[in-house]
Amino acid sequence: MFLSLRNVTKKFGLLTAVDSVSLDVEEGELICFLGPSGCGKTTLLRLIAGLEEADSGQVLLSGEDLVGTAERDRNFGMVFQSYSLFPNMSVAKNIAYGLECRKWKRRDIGTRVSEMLALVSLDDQADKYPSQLSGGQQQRVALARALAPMPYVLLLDEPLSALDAKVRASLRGEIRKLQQRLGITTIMVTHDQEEALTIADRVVVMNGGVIEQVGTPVEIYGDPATAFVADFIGTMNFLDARAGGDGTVRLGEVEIRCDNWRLQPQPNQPVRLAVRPEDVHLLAKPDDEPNSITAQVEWVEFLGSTYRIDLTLGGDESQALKTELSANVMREMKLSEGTRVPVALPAELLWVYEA
Amino acid sequence: MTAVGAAKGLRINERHIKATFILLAAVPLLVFVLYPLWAILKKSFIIADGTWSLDNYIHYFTDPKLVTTINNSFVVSISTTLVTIVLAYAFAYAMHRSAIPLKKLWMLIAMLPLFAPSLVQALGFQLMLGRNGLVNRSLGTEFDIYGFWGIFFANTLYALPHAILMLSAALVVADARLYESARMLGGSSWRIFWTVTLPATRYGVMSAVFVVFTIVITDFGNPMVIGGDYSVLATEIYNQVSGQANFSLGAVIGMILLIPAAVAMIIERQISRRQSAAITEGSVPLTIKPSPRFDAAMLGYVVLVCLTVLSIIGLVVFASFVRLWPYNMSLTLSNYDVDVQGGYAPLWTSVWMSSLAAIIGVIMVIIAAYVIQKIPNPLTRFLYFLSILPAAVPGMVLGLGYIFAFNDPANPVYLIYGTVLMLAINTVYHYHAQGFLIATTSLKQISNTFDEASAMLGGSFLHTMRKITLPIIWPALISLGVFFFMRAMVTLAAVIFLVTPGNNLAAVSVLLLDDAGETTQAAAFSTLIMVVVIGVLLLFHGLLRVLGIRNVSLIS
Repeated sequence: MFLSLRNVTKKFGLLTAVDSVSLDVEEGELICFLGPSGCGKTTLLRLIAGLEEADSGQVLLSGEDLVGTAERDRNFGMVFQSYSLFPNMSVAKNIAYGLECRKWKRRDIGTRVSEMLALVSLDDQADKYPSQLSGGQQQRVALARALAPMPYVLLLDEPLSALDAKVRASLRGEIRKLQQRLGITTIMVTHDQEEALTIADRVVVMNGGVIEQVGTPVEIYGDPATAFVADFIGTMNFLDARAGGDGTVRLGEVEIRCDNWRLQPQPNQPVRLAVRPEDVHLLAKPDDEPNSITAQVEWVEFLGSTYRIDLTLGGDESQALKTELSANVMREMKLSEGTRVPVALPAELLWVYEA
Repeated sequence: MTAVGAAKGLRINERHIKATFILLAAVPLLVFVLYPLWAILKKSFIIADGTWSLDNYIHYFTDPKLVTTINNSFVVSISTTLVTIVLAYAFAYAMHRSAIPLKKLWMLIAMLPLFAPSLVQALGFQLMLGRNGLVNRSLGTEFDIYGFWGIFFANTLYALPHAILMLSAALVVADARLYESARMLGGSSWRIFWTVTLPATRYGVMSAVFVVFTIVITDFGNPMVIGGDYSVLATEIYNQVSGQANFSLGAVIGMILLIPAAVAMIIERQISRRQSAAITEGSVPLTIKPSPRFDAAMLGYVVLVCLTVLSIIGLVVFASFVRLWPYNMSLTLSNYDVDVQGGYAPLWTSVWMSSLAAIIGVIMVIIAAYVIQKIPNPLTRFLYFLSILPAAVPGMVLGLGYIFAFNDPANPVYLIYGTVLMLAINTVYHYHAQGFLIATTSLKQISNTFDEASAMLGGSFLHTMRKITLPIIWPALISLGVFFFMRAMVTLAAVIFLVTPGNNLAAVSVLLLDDAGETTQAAAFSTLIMVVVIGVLLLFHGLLRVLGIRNVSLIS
């Protein structure tokens, strides 16, 4: 394994920021650490960088333990949220900095700097100072600066969060293409799930200092391992239920079959049933379709091409189901507040979590 | 991964460099701040036979004449402080909340007392209102300024620029949204002042109160020149030590003077810690709209203050050209032909000493600020305390402490005792707190991520300092150097105990000339000090302009 974390723990006073985290990163892959603020993702990145010292555990690079190796000796590239370009140096000087620290020959430095400038399409900005560049340009310089010394690993700490939405989306694509072209192992920290899902080979979802799930974006969204991941990624409806027999749960009197169980409950144990809004199917007429239940329309919101429908099971606010309906289906169904409507919940798209 | 393995050996080196820096910060602070204070404390408790005793204190507090000095000190300091704050608040208010013209000029004039030793204000008032002053001579009155009123006037003028600078900092920031909502709610201007402006600047006002109080109660030059029989603690220390060679009693008075100054500074530090969150993200800067009547009143006030400052300082400059004040008012250059008290030598000693102080001061405070901020170590809190401790130590106390600590052949520092270097070091540590706070502020402007970015790129500690930190903060270093130079040129209180006939200083010379009745020559010497200070200020101001640096203030 290229980069491995073994039971890495970091405490700040009483707070355990990173709690015995283990993770394997393959060479050339792009990993995103995703989670709410305070989940430990940035601390974990800084532990890998060597900017923080772990209280216990190991960080291994190709099997060699990095604990005790200073950040400056690890040869990891890092891009910071605030760009942190040196304001007293031109773009070219900034990019050359890491090479000078490594005592490269002057001519080699010049060649490498031009190469890096071309890589991030800033050939004509070499002599400008950071303050003369836009935010997006500054972040591209920061990227070039981090990549110039040919680091083993590229670390990105919320690199796009200071930029406006449009620049963010285009730079996101640029980073991904660059990363694939160079084949450099990259770890990016973000709190933006769209960013993580679009860019990463694998996503590491963190919460409270521990890893909740590691998987491809499709796995994270389509097969969430924990209720936290299910709730944090995308939108998820949660219903309070009780375990029935034979892979079913009971919602009041109705039995619903579920295919995806994240616990092995005792009969009648309270559980949480989860379903994505797009998997909630409103039925035109009450029929005998299995796995259906009657719900009540509480709120209809017009969103242009679609409608947002908020439903509850029998008017109970805590048993709410959100869904969306395309405008043409809506026309046929004629839903309004108070309408009772049968809802089908496909067994293969239902998850059961601990209550 | 052999490269990573090989690099591990280099870390030990890095640790050594950091440890060296911590020592470089800690040792001088211990030697030149803590040890002299310990020495004076000890001295105040040691009696003739060398044992510890409270006798010195008992002796002091049973002498009614000496107890009167405490009373005097407080009465004159508190009244000066209150009046100074009110005057300075109105002045700063005019500068930042009114639309009067020529603000820069008024501000510059109000700052003039900063460029002269603290006895020049007294000299000016003496020339104006003294026995042989302009007023008594031209009106035939027998007005007597010496005593309470003399100290009061001179120290108000002396403390005014300090207070104006602090209150300006409080008044320059304002959230326009607050004022808009206050007006929308129907508040009158007067009411808005009391309910919005004053509360928003309360921390600044309280800070200024305590700083001005400390400046005034510890001031030595003005009461020395114009205090007459009204004895205060600072002059009493000098009289006991220099006049009667009573070092123990000097130490006792020093300790007594240390208490109010220290208490005031501690309260000030507590207050200024709360000050930061006054302006939040999203606040809208206040724009000043002209208001003819209000602006006219403000302009009148500002011009009055500036005229007072100009007339007192101007009188000193004028007197320096007068043949024999007040009997022969014909003009001459002969006063500049200083022939007593070592002639011009003290001026050159002062310039040399101030240059040394500027260089040593910049290096020492930047090391202290750097170590405290960027190198986490177990001593951080203690070093911070030592760094700002001098703000609470009156110059007289520090100077006396240096005598007790270093006038001792057994102490290695004795090697430089009595030299210009000793004077420079004394001045640096006398003003260490202010310099340290300036350095800390400018280091804080360098985000920690620069250090981290440099480290991630492979830059060593020293490489980062040389390539990133210093290039970014050098304009601030220049302003820091100018600060130390200015203070060293005008300082009197601490160095008065350390000068020797061989290396007398300009400010001390003024005191001695005035004491010897050579008023016009004292005025000439004062003028020369101001010329040097203002000249250096202009020189560096111009230098920074030429280099395109605009956001650095040289007056702090």
